[in-house]
Amino acid sequence: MTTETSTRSANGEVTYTPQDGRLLEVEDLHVEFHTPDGIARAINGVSFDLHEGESLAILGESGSGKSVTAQAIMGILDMPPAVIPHGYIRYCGHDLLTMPEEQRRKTRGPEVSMIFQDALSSLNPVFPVGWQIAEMFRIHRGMNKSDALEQAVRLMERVQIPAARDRVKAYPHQFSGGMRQRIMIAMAIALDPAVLIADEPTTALDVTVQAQIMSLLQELQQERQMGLILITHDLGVVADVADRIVVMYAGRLVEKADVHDLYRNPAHPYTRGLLESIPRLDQKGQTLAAIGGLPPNLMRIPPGCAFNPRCRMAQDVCRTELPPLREVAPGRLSACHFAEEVIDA
Amino acid sequence: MGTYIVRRLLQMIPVLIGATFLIFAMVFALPGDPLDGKCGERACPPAYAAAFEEKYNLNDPLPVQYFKYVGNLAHGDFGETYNGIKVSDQLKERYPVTVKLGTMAVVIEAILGILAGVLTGIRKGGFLDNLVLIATLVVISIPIFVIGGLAQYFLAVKWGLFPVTVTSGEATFYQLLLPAIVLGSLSVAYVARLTRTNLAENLRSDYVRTAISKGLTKRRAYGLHALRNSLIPVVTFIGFDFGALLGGAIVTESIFNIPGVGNYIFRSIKSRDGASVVGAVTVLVLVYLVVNLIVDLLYGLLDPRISHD
Repeated sequence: MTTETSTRSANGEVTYTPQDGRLLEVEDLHVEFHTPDGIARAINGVSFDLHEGESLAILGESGSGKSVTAQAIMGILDMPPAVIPHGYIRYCGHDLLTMPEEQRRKTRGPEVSMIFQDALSSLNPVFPVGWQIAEMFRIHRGMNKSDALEQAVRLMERVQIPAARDRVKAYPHQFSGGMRQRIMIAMAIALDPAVLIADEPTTALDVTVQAQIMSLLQELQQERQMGLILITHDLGVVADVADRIVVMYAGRLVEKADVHDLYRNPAHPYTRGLLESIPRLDQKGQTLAAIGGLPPNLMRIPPGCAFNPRCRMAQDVCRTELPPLREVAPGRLSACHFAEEVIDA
Repeated sequence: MGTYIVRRLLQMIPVLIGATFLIFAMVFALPGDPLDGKCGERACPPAYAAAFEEKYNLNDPLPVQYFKYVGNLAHGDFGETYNGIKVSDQLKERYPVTVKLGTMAVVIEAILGILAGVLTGIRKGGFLDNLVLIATLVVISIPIFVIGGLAQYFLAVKWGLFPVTVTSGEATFYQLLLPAIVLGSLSVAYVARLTRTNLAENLRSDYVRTAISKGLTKRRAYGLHALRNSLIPVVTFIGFDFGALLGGAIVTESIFNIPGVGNYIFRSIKSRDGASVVGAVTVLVLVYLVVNLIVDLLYGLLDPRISHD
């Protein structure tokens, strides 16, 4: 399957080229956490791919495995306790999981890059922000200090930090939450990565700032034709930015669809529950819809469909048989025994 | 920053006055008469006794004695011992020895402690980690006079690796090496544990995860990003410990016969030499306050989140 898609240039550096426009292929990924209390199965066979210039949203509650998926792609899971028993993560046809660590390290930053939820704790408190951005150029490009710092100023201007040149030597705590997230973004896009993973980039921010950060991400993505993986539990954030959505539940994909199809008529009861639980202005005074019950304990995922204890449509078959992810309409996949009925509802 | 330093220096004045008064009052309250045994087997002649009491203000009430003392202190006069030797001369002679010993001990504790802390913090739960954990626990649990005595007996007396005691007023580096190791050993244990705990905690922090996802080598992510943060409390501890060590190490200096400040205070207390005790302690308080101020300023430099405005 893996054809030779990289070439070694004269200086021995590997260059990566997408295959048929595909940047990233995740195939049958499993991640387990081996803890003293037992094995938590965080991801149980997840497959999706990401194309050049595409925005893919991964949607799910806490504990659904969306962040673990992102961390597995970046290779920043703590192993142990995390174990990847099987699965592939191919970047431009190269399996990141079997790649030598030194080669993989060099992909972090120039090829695949990530921004995190809490920018304050994700930035190092004792180094100036400009220094932290410049570090990307110094480590990966071997640039000298002053050139790298000049690049950092340029990037801070690009992510619209006011008076960037004056603030390049300031420390993370001297910025507001939104500005800190902009600095994280500047750092992540510094080396023009092909894939940018944003793990709940706006969760810790005010609503108005959320919108600014999302539109900045969208703008940068279009400008640089990056593949963007947006991880979130907020359906409102997704609608404007994402092209496709995958919905995760208990470490599995339960639905995969184009963003508009999914919003118009979801093909999985869980997705429908998520959409119904968005508060709406025109329904003032009514009880807020919520999905009853709690996400399953990953050490004891229920047999059959993992969602069955919380599902209003659950039948006997849901408690015994695991529904496969199957095509229920052109370009739409759902892992529900009764997907057709859900769509029609 | 400037106003902060001025404010801190002004704060030292009441502390210094309070500390010297307490010491002065305690020395005053000590039983015994400095004239006892001054003139051999018999009582001193009344004329001599009167002159002696006059010279050292012994007939004044405590507040008057204290104000006279502070008045002299204000223009640098530390007074005389009852043998007529200037206290300031004594301190000038002994202080360099204590500074030398304290510096050596601090260097030993910083190097060994941080090294052990880093090695164990990176691989928490490994063999080396457990070994260091047990070793530091043992060191922390044993009183210093036991460690000092054992080290002196085995390393110096029995195996002859070090000089047994300091034999001259000029303590050499080699003579002070074993005492410095003994003095530093307790702090090595604390520094190692502090470094280990902080490093292990910072290795799991979000910004180290960011450093790894930036494509930095583990060496740089751990050795620069995590360690730089982990050393902030360690450097602070070492700084305060240095301040304490400059106060002289009474036990260690006694074991190894080191002519330092600790030894001097110990002997002065035994011989009821009030002027020496008060003078030496005043200097110690002052040094300790200054070192504390320097450590606080250093803390602000190490951690940009601390501001001294």
